[in-house]
Amino acid sequence: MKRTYYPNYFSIEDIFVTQEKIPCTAEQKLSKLGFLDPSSSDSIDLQAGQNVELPLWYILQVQTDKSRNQFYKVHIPDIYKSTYGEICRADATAIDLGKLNKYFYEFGRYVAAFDRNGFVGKMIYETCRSRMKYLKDLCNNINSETRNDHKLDYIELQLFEVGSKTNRNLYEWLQKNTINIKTSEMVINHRKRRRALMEAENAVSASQRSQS
Amino acid sequence: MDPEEIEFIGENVSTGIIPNFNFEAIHLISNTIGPFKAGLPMYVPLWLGIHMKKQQKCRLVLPTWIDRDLLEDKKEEEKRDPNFTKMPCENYMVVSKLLFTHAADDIPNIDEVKTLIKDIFDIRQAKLRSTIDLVLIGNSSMESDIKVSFNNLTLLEINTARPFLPFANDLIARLERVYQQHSSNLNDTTQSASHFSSSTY
Repeated sequence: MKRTYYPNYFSIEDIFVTQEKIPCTAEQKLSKLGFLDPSSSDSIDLQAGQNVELPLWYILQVQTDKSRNQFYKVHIPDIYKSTYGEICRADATAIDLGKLNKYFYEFGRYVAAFDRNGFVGKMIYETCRSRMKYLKDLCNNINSETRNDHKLDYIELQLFEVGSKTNRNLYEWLQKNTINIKTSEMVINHRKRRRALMEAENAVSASQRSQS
Repeated sequence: MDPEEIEFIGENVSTGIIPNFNFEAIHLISNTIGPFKAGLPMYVPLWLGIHMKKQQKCRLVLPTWIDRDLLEDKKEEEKRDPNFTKMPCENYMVVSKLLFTHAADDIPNIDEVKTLIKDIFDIRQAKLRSTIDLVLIGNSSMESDIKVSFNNLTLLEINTARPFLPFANDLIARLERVYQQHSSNLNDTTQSASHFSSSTY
């Protein structure tokens, strides 16, 4: 993680998040969309009141009005309902976010748009707030043995990795006497030699073409 | 930024040496060093001083703050002040570490000085940690009027908080925006609903 995560059109995480299925009910009869419900694949139309699970990206596209959707009624997934909200309020650090949803915060961010009570937005914000200190302490006390049971969301995991790396580096620097400076990761990823590589490849393909 | 890079930056600090050889000036891109006259004190970058010290070509003149009494005062000041105090050197950890490794025989009371530097660093780290905690959970009740000070932190110390702190703050801020956006939506709808109901009555 070289920079802070911010969702954009090309970010793979954002694509993964929008693949999540979200429970919906058809508000009206939708012609020729029966295939959306795999349990009743024989009917051609989607009847009003039928429950289907649809991917988030589809719902985001078909909805025109943020608060009211004329084709589907979107239900809030169980993990953002009040039972989990209670747990989060009681002790946010105890909850296994990774198990609930790998992209708990990001998914919640999208779900919050369909939540008319404003509960989901509040829940993910407060959960995040109270978990960050715990995460920081986790980074500070890095022990290679206690790695596996961290119960982190995807973004938290990324944060944990950068945070613990910083601490490890500092610790190593304080311990060692002299260290030679290394090429920074960013410079390695620059691939300055790409042009030379491409030219070499072009030359190879050109020679192959001339042979054939 | 890695600690090694910070060390690289810190090594550029000017330090006094007394060379024991004669040599003409060295012309470098950044500046010209020298000429060297045996026995005549002069200023060179720390990296060069250490390099020549290793070859026993000079004696290092210690920075004035590598001193037991001064550091003891500094430690007391650091303890008393709730904020960070100004350090005598911008890269005190780097400079002291290099000097402890390469010029140990030139430093009087080296063990005490070492302990003092370590103490000061630890006090500052503890302060930094509690400040970060304040930033991360301090205003959970949506009041953004907490005030923290990161003044006078040295580069190495800032880098113990980076990049975790800014990244975590970005995430919190992003979710806060979502929260505020939807809670304001909520207020709008309830307001318009109440407006509507009052107009029908």
